[in-house]
Amino acid sequence: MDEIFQDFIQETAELIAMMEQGLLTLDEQREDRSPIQEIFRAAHTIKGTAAFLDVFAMADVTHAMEDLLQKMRDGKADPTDPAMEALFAGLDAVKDIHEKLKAGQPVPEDWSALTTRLLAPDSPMVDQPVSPMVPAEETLAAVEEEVDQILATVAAEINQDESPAEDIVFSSQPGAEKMSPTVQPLFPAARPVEETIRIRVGRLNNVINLIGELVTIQSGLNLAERRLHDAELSRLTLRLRKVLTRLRNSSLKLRMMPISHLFDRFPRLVRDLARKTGKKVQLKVSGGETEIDRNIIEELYDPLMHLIRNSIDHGLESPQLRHNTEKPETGTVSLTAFHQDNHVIVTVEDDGMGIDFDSVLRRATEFGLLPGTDTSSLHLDDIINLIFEPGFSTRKEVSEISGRGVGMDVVQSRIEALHGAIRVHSFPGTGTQFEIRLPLTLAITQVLLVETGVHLFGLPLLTVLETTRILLSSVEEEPGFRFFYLREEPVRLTTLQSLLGLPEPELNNDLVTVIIIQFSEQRMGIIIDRLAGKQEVVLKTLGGFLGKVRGIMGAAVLGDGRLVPVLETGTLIREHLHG
Amino acid sequence: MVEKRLLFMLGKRCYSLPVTSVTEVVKPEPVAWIPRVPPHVLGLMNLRGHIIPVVEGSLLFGFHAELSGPETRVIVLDGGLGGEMDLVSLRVEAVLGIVPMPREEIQSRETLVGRDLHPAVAGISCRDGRSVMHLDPNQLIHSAAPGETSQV
Repeated sequence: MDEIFQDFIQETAELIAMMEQGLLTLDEQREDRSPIQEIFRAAHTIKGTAAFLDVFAMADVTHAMEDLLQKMRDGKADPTDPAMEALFAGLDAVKDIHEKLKAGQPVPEDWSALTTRLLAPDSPMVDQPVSPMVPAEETLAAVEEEVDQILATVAAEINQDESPAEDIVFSSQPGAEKMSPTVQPLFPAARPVEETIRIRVGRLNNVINLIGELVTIQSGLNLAERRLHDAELSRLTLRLRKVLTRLRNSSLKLRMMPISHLFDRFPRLVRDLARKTGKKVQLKVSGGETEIDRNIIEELYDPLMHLIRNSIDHGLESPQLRHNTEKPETGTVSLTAFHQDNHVIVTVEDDGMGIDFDSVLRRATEFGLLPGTDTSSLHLDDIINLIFEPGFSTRKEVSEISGRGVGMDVVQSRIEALHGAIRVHSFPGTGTQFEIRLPLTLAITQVLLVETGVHLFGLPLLTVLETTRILLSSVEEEPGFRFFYLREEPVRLTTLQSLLGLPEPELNNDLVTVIIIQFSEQRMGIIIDRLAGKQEVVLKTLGGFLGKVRGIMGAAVLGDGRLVPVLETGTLIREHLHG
Repeated sequence: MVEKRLLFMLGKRCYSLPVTSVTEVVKPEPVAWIPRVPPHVLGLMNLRGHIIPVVEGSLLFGFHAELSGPETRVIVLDGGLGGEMDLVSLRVEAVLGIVPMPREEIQSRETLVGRDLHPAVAGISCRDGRSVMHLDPNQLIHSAAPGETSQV
């Protein structure tokens, strides 16, 4: 697709976010009309570009929104409930058209029901479908052809070196001065924009992957240098290492984005969910400036959305119930992000009723998740972790809001696919907190190398709590399993061989090396033969022939050319425990 | 029509693959074992930075696995979908060379009806008094892939 169209798609996404934020602010404090300017400007910009590219549906809707906003700004209309709803409906329509354009799908042409509603929001209206039907003959090919034509026209116009009206959506300050008076934007840009250049994500990923490869080659070079004892080589490797470290650090920053790009999408969700459930909810967001790999941001939306839905649907009580229990009627859902060591921690927390341990237990028993288990012996951590079991949901009826066939097990596996981990803390009557721990970037993974028999494996460092050495004579034996005490706390013990289905090793030495793995809220000790250091690697998938092998995250080539499979410890342990 | 085919040995028998499906033939590289794949998938090898699964040909065709000897080679096959991700390799006892194979000399697998033929065998011919099993590369890869049931 052509750059101009791509730019339009990208810019419109930003403007939609801007409109959304403005509308939410206005919705909350209706007497303060200052957000209207910004919403108006965003709608105006979209309208201009959309009309220029012949995306008339979007131009029509934004035009109608613009009209209503102008009336509000001039005091000729009030931000009444129906007016706000109409504006939100308009925004949804713009979003919808934007999504369709992005996906190359045909865009519905007729939005007259919506535009009429926007023009006179307070007049009584009949329920009309907001989204008109797509004419059947409007095939993808036809749209593509049309877009190609538009783009050809655009290219021709640009070649004439005349700035067509309103094609400048955002310009850096110097460019703005050159614009002719007739195309002055209605409102001058409020703040200077840092000059940026848009790069396709694919190209960027390619560069970052190549730098990852360079890092791997460099660690091989270091090994060779230590072997060869050549002064000249040593000097050059040292210089290379320094430059490469800087190159790597700056390249990783290229793909980092503030997590607010993700967080900004939730206020609207919370507002809509609050209306649907009849609960009063405020969303508190903090740490939006925390930077994280863009590729992680993309994958994090669904799990976070699910957790927030859960908090509002299952966690928060009704205003009445909150009132009766002397809690503020408005419940709070907090979304927080911060850096810790080399990780990003994201938490979703509510001040609701907390997880009901008894009903979790009942449910798990009903579903046969605890065959032959004496439930009275279960630790609270064990109980709460049952919510991560496949197919678990505490609501008997599938609710419209959080019941979409998506369980916490899916949230967990999505987080683990990002090399992250999720934990839950819950306090009856006080609330629930989900804590997600994520790596800063997916470009390079830190792995702990472990040897077992003749095999070498990598374990993502993120899942390893610590490594320790214990005396086999101190291990407690129970029928079917072993455990030992780590600083007075019992930790279940197994061998890496048994996790992988290899023959059990003979342990001749009393002193053994154990790595402590964190999975969900639990810990497990794994006996290995030897630690072989840690390394930063570029994780690759196993490829189309093998497909997804359960328990294996991928493989990586080490600096010395050896190849290691990188294990998904969470999956391996869970399968080991559940047979 | 004459097709060039790569001849190789498995379980003391002669097999062939069209050279167009072969990316290269290399000496064995160390193989990293991986869990939860069928036994004929030996593991992964590093070929100049590319990660390539290695299939043990003998096991795939139901023979005993031969220990690696001086003649052992690994045939790297293009999985057909293009790109490095879809390379897969077949470890064989020995590679005999490339021979031109006239189509009319190849009998279709149907002539051997009733014999328990591996699904990857597309045809058979007799060459210097020895039979050669001609393999279909796509069928070969398909029959070796773990697919849905990657649990052992």
